[in-house]
Amino acid sequence: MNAAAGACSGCLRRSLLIGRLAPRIAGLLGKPPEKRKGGLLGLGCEELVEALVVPAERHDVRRWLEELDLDAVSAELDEAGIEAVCRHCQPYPTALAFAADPPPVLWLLGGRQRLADALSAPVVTVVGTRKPSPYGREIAYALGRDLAAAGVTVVSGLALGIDAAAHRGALDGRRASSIAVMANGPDVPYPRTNTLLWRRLVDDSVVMSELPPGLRPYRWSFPARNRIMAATAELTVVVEAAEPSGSLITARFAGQLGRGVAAVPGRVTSWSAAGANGLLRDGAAVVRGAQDVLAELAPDSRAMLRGPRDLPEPANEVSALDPAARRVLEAVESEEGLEAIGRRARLAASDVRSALARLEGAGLVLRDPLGRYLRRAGG
Amino acid sequence: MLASVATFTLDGISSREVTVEVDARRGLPTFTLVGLADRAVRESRERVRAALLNSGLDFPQQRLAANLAPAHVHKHGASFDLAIAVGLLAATGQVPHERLASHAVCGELSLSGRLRPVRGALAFAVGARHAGYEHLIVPEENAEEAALVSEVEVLPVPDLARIVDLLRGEWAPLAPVAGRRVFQPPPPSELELGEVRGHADAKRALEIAAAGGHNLLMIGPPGAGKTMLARRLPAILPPLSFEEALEVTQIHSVAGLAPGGLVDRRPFRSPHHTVSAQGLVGGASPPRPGELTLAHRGVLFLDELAEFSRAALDAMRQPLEEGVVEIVRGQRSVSFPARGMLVAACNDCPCGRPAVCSCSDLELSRYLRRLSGPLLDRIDLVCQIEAVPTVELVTGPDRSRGTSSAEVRDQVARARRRQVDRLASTGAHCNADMDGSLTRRLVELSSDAAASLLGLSQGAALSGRGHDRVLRVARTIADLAVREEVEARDVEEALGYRLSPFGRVAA
Repeated sequence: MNAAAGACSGCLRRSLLIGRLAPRIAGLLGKPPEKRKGGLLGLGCEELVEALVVPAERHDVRRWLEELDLDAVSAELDEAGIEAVCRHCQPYPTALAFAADPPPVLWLLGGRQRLADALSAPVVTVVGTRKPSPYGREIAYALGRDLAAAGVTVVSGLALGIDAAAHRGALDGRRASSIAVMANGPDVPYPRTNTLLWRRLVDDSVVMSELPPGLRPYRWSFPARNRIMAATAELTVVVEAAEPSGSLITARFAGQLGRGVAAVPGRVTSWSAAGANGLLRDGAAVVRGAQDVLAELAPDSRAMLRGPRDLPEPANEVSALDPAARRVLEAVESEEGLEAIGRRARLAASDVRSALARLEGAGLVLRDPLGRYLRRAGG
Repeated sequence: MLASVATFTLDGISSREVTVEVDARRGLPTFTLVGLADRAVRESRERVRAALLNSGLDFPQQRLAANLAPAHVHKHGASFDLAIAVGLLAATGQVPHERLASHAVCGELSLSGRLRPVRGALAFAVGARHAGYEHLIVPEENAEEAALVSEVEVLPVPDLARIVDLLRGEWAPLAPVAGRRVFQPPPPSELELGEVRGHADAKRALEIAAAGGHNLLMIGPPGAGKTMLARRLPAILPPLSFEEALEVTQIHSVAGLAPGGLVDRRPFRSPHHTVSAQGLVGGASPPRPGELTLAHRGVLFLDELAEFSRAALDAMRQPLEEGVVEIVRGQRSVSFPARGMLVAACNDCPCGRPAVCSCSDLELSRYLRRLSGPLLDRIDLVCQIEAVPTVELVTGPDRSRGTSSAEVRDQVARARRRQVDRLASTGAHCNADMDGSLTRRLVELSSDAAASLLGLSQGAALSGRGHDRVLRVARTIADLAVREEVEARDVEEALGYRLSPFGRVAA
């Protein structure tokens, strides 16, 4: 099999040149991040060289480009299991091909067939802060899980926090795949904390990037990656985002491309939700759960998408609870501590703990690593 | 002439008999000391000389040799002064020899001839009883402590001149204030649990921990009251028995912490987080007991658990498991008892400023990793401590003046008695001591409780070890409620206090 078969040689050369010049891109452009890629990534080879290389070095770079042995590159890719897709070939995301400055090549781990399958389903991007609250993390996980269970492909950026939670959810939801768009070479697990998640995505799903294999991320490559996420999906959902933040950049790209933008409301007093709440004020769709996303995607053909399966029916669970447990559940929902839960529910300490254990067994609350209880989303 | 006098040296927290032989004969006036003596012992020559002369006694201008036998045991400290001085007096004929066979002596000399107290007097008295001496001569300050051993007659002596009188049969001391033969539990501690407002959940956790001897971890923001609560734990533990009090006294005496007399309160130790591994579990040469041993039969409180060095925490692992610290130095090994309860506290985020916390996930997971590890395997109960709102502290109705320490202590003592009966002949003393197989054998679940545990542990992703911990705690909760069978609510409450799987970030 020829790894580079999905890409024409011109696009491959251009992508490899961008990789070669990647460190220069940040140095050259001192503009705000969303303008940084402005046109630059859409330039042809010759223009790129002229824009980024000092005259004295241009000759060397041009000769390197001419002498580039694509067969050798292709052999190396084969060995690493990486494939390339250029915008003139399938299965390059159609929506991305028509966006401004489309990446010449997408470098893939997981295979063209999987990417094609993932793109044949409705695609939603879920992004958010790297430092989420337990609530935000839980919502992102539940969204990823329920969307995947409903057959929607979930795109995110494999960053810490919301991105990782959304990927995890999507992998657990199983029915559809999850696409991770990286700001570095697809074969570089970054951030390192998410190495295991990256491995799961490579094994079961798709990891892709505009940057050629082996490259580390650059400051400019994060907003550049965001434009790919925004363009690939029909709808971008922001779960928790501060102001300003990378997630808002993604949302802005989505808006500029005419794609849908949605956000999960957060507490108005929380700075980590200020960005998401700001989007809602500006007219983004409100997302309370996967159903809202499905409705936003296909208001008329909701029947085409199968509803989430294998999830506990929340109404029944709650109505089956004993009175003490129900009072404790209400108190947990108000997000106060155990002490307050006991006072609010007017129960002895021992009864509060046992009620919490029953609620946890019923899947209605969960514990964070420090043992604090919170309401489980989507259940 | 040759004289020999019996005395003792500390070995761990017990003592070992040492015979001081003194030989005086004509020759150039010298004074040599042999027998693996450390510097404090060798310096005793000067103290002995001055003390003798200042007491109006004769320091002979002869060739003097003192030998501390057995010669292969290292000897430390100044407690040999008195034995050397008495040996010298006997060797030069200033006191008769007869009484030395039945008298052991210990004490440090000041230059004036007064006796200074020594560390480990109780251990010396125990050693004297063991070696069959009828009388033990000690400095006055040590008398009350040494007199706790009833089979040995303790003779408190103020200075060297009096000892000469005593050995000549011309003077006898008053009997020391007899060690308490009838042991009374101590008066209620001044730190009262009933005064704590709010914190119902934490008070319940303390009660369970005390009743089953379970180690406890408290997680909460700074200033929420973790230390305040931990300090109230000794008061709800059952009072020390006389045997336990003797153990504690002996340890504290060796460490130089004993007030003189019996230690009748459960110790509460809270070492600072900069403590070294040696300081925590004991060590150095000669081996000294560490905080873990000083907290024997009491409470070891580790505040800011995450700030302790990894080495220190790792060193505690085995002692916590076995209740004994084994220290091996060279060819010697010493063991210290270490059966205390561990209470640890930590902040709920690495910055410790919940109001303005902006710790990233990475920082949080690093923090959790530092907390986790093998030490947590020995912690059965975890509770979250929350700051009680100021409003409640100031105006809260006095109904929150909850159960007093004494009432809780009675319940705890009753629960402990049930455990002692159940665990007789198993080697375990309380529920926390039960290992996996013992737990599964002795904890009887009602059919309800078994079903409940099965159902809940699936949702809670309980490991095998976690399962045993829940059973142990559930057993204690049932003991507190005086129930022979463990019921569903006991299991549920125990599950509520269990340790969450650290490191696995809730997705």
